Amino acid sequence: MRTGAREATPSAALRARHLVAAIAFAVVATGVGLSVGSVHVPITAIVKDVAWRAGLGGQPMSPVDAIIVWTLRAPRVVMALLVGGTLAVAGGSYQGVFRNPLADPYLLGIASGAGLGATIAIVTIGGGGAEPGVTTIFAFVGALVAVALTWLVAGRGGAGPTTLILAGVAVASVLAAGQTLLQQTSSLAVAHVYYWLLGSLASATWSSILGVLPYMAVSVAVCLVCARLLDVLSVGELESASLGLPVVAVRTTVIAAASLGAAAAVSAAGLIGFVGIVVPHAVRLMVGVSYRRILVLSLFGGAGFLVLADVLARSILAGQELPIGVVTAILGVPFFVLVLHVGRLRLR
Amino acid sequence: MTAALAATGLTVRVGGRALVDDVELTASPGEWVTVIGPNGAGKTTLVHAVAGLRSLDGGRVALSGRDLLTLSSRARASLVAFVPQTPVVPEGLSVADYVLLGRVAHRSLLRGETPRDRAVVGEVMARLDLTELALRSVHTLSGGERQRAVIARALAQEAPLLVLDEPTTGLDLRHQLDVLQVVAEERRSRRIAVLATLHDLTLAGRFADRIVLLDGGRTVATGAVRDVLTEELLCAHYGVAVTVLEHDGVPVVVPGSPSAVRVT
Repeated sequence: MRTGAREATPSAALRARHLVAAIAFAVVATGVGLSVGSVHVPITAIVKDVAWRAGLGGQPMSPVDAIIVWTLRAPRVVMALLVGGTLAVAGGSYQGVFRNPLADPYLLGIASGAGLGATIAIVTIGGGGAEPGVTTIFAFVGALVAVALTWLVAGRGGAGPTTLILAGVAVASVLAAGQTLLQQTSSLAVAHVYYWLLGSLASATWSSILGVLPYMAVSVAVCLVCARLLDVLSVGELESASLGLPVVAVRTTVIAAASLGAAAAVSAAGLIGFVGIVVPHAVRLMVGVSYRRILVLSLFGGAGFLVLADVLARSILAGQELPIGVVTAILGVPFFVLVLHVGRLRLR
Repeated sequence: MTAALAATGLTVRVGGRALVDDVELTASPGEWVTVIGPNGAGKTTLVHAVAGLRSLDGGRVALSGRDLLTLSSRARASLVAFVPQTPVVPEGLSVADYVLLGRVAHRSLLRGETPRDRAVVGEVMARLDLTELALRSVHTLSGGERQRAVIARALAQEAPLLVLDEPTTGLDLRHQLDVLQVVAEERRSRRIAVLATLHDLTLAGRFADRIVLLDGGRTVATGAVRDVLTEELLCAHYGVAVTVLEHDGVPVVVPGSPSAVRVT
């Protein structure tokens, strides 16, 4: 502490070592995600292949391995990185803007909206099994419509966080009821809808990645830029207004951005729970309460976490995939309990 | 000289009932004005309205000559700083980071702290004896230290008007005095105008230049300490007999009639 100099030392800013650790985690997870599966391709072989492709020496892998790693696994891993990172950032942002540790990205009806949208696509267009791309678009639109409805029901920007949460609950209930009703009309669709709801990264392709990437990028960028404002908001709406924060504008911007990212993530991969709550909380327990740290570290933490969850989803049962939403819950909760106890030794 | 605060016809209604009704309020640079009144008189609503934290249903507020309604959040926060009655203290935030929040109004919203922000905050913390506590979590401070941190945050705003809502709530005698003396010293050395609400009438009398007695949302008396802290006025508006004694040239307000005071 520099007590001699009359200059305050801020301590809430992001630390380089935290960032390096988070990026390293995501990189290692990516390596594991490319390497592990029904056919094991050693990480060293992948690294050598990357080096060879980059013209830095190394050695190419066999054509079969190359197809497995770069054509089959890579889109899936990249999608997991994107979805996990986006959900974690969106969840952390929601927690900041609602000043509520239980807020998750689905708080304002996104899950039910996406579910209804996907069900409409599956039942009406696909006759029980729509094109994944069509389902994605319907889910995305459904999620955004749900958030917009919540916003309108709550009385737009002037409503406080509590009103918004209650409006979200109301809208979610109505949309979920609609989804259930619709799904009952087509027995054929039930299995498809159910499978979609539980979440999967199996259908990820490079073109589906390109489809959701812009929304996710905008969402994450806006949330990260607003992290500093969420730190101001942590003293409450009244006080942050007295400090000069345009509270309604900040809340509107962050909710819109986080919702856009969450909607894109849900439409691409189904309902993946826990990432949006567990990851930001784990980060918070390890590095403190500042959103300038939490959000950017959650981006990499969430990305790596979902890749590892997906590895488990496709490798626990041979020849069969578990829904990734199930894995994040099974993996996330004990992980969270561990962090809750061990993480108290803050990594400051 | 432009008044730090000039409010006229200030009115705030909720559900048709006027919480603040046609109140006039001014504070010049270096002046301390204290608002007193029974519970529910509208003191908090009044100071919130003055600080731009709730909308007006009538009247005008000028902060250093500028109309409150035309000000952006940041412009407003550089003209009036506010210390709430029960500050929200986020867990895990260091005192230095907490006081730095007072600088939000002085930079573009998305920028980080400038060296000047850190210098101002360092100065304020030194003046308020907070330097040693800079890296402590605000959450772990005692009531008195915490209130000084909240006041430091407000002072870091460098606004010409400081509004305090019951700044001595929950503090023991020594810390009540301590907090008010810090504010008194700041207004003397920097000529900031102070608008405070206080329940303790004796402390109100000791620290204010001028007192405004509010009842039912209306100003029922305003003027020098001696003219407002009288047995008749206080009895009429607090609905209880009071005795006003004098000590050191300052009125001391004792609840109860003289006989009751002697008996108990």
